[in-house]
Amino acid sequence: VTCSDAVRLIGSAIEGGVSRRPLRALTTHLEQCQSCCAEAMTQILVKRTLAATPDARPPDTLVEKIARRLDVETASAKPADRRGRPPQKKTAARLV
Amino acid sequence: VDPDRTFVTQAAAGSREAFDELVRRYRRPVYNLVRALTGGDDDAEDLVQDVFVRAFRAVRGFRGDSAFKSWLYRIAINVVHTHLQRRRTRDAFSGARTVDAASGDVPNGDDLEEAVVRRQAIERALAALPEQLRVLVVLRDVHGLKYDEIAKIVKSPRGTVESRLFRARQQLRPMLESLVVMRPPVAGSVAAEDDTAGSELACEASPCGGKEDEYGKDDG
Repeated sequence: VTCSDAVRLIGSAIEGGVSRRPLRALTTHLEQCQSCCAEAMTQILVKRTLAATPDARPPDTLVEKIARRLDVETASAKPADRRGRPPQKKTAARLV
Repeated sequence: VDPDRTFVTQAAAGSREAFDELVRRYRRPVYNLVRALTGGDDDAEDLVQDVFVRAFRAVRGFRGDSAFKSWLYRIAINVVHTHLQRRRTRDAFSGARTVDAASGDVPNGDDLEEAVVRRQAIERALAALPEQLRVLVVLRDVHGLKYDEIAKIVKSPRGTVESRLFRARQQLRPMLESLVVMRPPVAGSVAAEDDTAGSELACEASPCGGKEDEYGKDDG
């Protein structure tokens, strides 16, 4: 495994997407190559740090505000005609 | 199987109650997604409303080719993208400084919960990434979506997603230096049963050629 092979494999390996044999080869390389190992650590630590991002709690009013906006949407939606066709826009040309 | 299927089907048939249930299920993840994509923007609440209004308008046409969650996240990404474009234009004309995660402006943590400070620091770091990379790293590392789902959402090949994600993490590392989450090293992680590896690399057991990890010893 060369350094460029290792860099190519690291991303997949931390996602569990590398099969046993290439993973062993990668691991052996990482034990011997400080720069690739540092790269692997970067990928792992950033992934882990982001996965531990604390959840933000949405404001309590959010659902109510969404519901109000949807009420407006529902009220402004024009009903389809009896054949189920959507309402057509009355353009200026058709009005002439 | 999409766990939302029943409600999505009912919502697509015009059930407002079913859509309201989807809002209840997804308000929190969408709110967090929008915050992460905007760098903790004050407009996040309004943007989340826009996301659900757009989804409500479009749900009749949802064919179920992807999971509802992926579809909804796609809408959120589009809403945020439009918002960021407008904000950049507005800031360019007004001379205002855009969000600058690299500026090192860390909020005073004395009066804030640690989690809030931590989240804000992460949001600021994410805001410094190019939008194209930020979307990927947020979907994968913050929200845990699978590569294939992400590839569908951003309409890019899986290989492109992987390589961009790699770059995104490289760029984030210096900005997250004070926040990195260490864990006790795992002694070897080669999967015992199947043919694929675990999700951690064995190099963690002896970081970087047996020398002490340059990022400090694990305190666990």
